Amino acid sequence: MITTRSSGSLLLALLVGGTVFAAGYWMAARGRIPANRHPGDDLAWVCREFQLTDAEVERIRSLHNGYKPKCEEMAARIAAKNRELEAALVGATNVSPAVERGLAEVATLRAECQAQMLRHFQEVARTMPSAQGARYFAEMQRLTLELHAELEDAVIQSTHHEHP
Amino acid sequence: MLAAAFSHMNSPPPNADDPKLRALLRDAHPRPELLPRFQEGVWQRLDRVGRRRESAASNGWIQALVRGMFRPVYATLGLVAVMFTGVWLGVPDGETRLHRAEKARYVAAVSPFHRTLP
Repeated sequence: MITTRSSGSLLLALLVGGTVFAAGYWMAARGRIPANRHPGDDLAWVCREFQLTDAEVERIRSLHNGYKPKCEEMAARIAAKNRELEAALVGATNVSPAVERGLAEVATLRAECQAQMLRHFQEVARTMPSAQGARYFAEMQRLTLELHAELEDAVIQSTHHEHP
Repeated sequence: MLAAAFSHMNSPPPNADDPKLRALLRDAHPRPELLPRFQEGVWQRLDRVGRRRESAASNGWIQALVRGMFRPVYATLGLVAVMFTGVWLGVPDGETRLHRAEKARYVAAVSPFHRTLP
């Protein structure tokens, strides 16, 4: 039989060991963040993932800064179009011509945005060495299409929650 | 008077098998009543002590381990090993989290859909 003293000692050892393990784990996990060369930078992932030189990073930054206002404008247009469509659907018992028109406009806008995104990604890919560029473009193409699917999933889920 | 006293001292010792004497002794020292299930309780206690001894013998190695763990050298080595394990597992996890956070930031910056997700 383990005595109470032994049990207490074992428990204390486990507690101290657990605390030391957690401290080591936490410090190591958190310690990676200051190692980031570009903290708070939108392009940190691109720089690290594709191991770009400073000159390549500068070219991509210039492209990124040029694309950002366009992206913001597109986001605003999408949000406005979604609001219009929601307003047209309030109290609607059937799909009116206004709703149909709204849906078509949203689809057109989405395609326009995707095309613009892909054009930007192609431009960025061209500034990289060819292997990295191809990998970058494949990844961004996948993300562009997946985000579209994600958006649709989110819409389907919210529709199901509202009208189970 | 003195002679009478001496004559009493010289009388033969009482017979232990004398039934009268035995009855007298029994009445003088009454046997206490045993508690109910007294005998059973005694056996249980004996059994418990026996089991405790057996268990202590089989768990001796645990106590030896606990004693060893608290020796300064082993305790320090153990803590260092535990700390290194934590660091060893924490580094890749931190790397993955950082990578995921940076990628999410980039995607949020370049995707208008991401900005308008409900």
